[in-house]
Amino acid sequence: MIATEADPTPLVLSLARTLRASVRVPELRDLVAQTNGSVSLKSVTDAQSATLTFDGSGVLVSHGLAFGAEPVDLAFDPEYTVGETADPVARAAAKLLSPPLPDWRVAGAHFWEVSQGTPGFPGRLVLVCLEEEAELVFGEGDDVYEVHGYGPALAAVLSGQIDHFLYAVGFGVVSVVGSGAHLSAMCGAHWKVRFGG
Amino acid sequence: MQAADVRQWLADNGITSVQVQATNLDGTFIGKTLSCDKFLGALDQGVAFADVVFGNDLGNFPILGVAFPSWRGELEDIFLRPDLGTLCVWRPGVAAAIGDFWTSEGDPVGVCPRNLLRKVTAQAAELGYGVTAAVEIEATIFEEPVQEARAKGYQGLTPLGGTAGSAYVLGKSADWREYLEAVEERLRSVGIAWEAWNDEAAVGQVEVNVPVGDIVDVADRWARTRQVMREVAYELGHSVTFMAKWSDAWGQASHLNVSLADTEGNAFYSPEGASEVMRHFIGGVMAAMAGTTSLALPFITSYRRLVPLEGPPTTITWGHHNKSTAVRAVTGHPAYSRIEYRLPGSDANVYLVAAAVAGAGLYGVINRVEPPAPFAGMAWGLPEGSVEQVPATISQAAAALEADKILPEVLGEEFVTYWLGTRRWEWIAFHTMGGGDLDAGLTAWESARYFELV
Repeated sequence: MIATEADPTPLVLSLARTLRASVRVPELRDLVAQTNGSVSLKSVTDAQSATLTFDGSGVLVSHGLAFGAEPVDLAFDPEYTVGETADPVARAAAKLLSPPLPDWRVAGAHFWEVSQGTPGFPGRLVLVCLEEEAELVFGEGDDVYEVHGYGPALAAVLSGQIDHFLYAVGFGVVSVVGSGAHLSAMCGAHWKVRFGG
Repeated sequence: MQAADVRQWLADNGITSVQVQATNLDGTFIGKTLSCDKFLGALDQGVAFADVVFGNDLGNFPILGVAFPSWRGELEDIFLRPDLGTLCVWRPGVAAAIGDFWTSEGDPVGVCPRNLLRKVTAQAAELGYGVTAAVEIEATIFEEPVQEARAKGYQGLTPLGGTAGSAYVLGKSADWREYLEAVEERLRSVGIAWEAWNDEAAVGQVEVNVPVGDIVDVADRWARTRQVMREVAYELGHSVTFMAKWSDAWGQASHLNVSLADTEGNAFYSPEGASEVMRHFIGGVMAAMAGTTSLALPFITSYRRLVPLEGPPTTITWGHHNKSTAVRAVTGHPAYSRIEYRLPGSDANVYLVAAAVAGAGLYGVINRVEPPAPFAGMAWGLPEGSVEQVPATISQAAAALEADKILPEVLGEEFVTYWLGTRRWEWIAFHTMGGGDLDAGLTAWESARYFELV
């Protein structure tokens, strides 16, 4: 239902991952089926751009602006925010690119499932939700990494939002306990999720 | 040389400091300048460098997302051990030595480019072969000093030597000859063998040839010659770039010529054409070519050079005496029989490409890999799908390397995995840190990142 062009860019992959999250929600899945046409999205912060082409049954995500298209702004904070527009396809895209966040536990479970056992990834991942004072532990052993944050922040980061896991740590979206080697592996795991893993 | 001999050599040559030299993964010439005492004290253990030598990108941003090898930690030290066979007088009062990186436990760092090449030559020696090579260095020189180039964002520069077309033109302006004669003089004074230099196809473009020799020695001379070309350019108030493409003009390459020698001489030679050894060597090289592309074309800009009919190969092909293919087999000569590997851009790290090509070739010899049929005719402009294409982007090349079965065996899993992480980061950085649209031509991001450092 959600397809990307060959050799996609990071933005194309990330938009496709977001759209796939949307089509798991029944009313948003219906919205895809009701939409025909294309919208070109241009980042407000850098030179990235992409085009979503709807055909009533699915969406093709490709890089760049469609020839002659009037691009619509795309902001990354929160990810993704489509600029004001009267165009019905762009308005549909706006809804589809901001699906509801999963519960942080669900996001964490998927994050763990995608990367557990890969080289460098911690053997035990501990997620600490600050407002719930709750802890979720995956795996076992002494090779442990902890990620602390509020539920929505954990959900956003672990479901692949934000360009780089390093930024999530650097900007204080989440805090972590572990080694530099773990941080590197977590960055790789985050991209795996962000780009559709 | 023993430490006492080195001390004497330093004194005899009036040396007051020593530069230890190496390349990082991106091919940037790196090092430290040491007092003579510090250098002498580091002969065994090596000179400490933070592991970010192989951990930061050309924007000095940390490359993450990879599983750290054992030598990487919380900014651990690794050690550059000078190879005293490379000790030379770099300039009056300053000596230089190229080195290899070792861990604090005394193991070679598995991603160090020179270590990888030495590993491949050691394997060749076990098989009874020496690996010989020669390399072509292409660069573009500009009238403007590097400070002015920086201020202009490396745009709108004036190629040195005028804008007349063609190649091999001798009627260049005096400033062009002054530059290259100064390079030649400096190479001679350092003791770096050179073979030829000439005007190349694009305006301001020159070619300097590093003559045939042991492949590690040739890679050392490649690294040093490029450094000399930079230093001389800066001293004369010019700038220089080794980007594979600095404008929409023709690109720049680093063609690598490789052959094997045994006790009989050139092992590629046969009176009938290619020897069996050469045939199998080509078989290995061709089988690993798609994967090797990631090393031969390491950057976003590298792929902009792949324009059919402009000279670079665009297909996974080899041919006899055919410069439109990726590998040109030069056969039938008892001394000059060799392959010319035409894929690398001028921005490639020759240590890495040489290790991959020689290693893949040896794999072919060991496993008696038969090459595909040689390509006859022009390997450009062919019907779509008729011939396998060279990967066209950094991400396609990374995918090809990830699928390759030979290079992990030749270069080690650690290197291949680590390298793939660095190329994935290069791809992400281009797209998310201001690079722009790949389709829109050379970007300011590429010029800023690559002009001075590759």
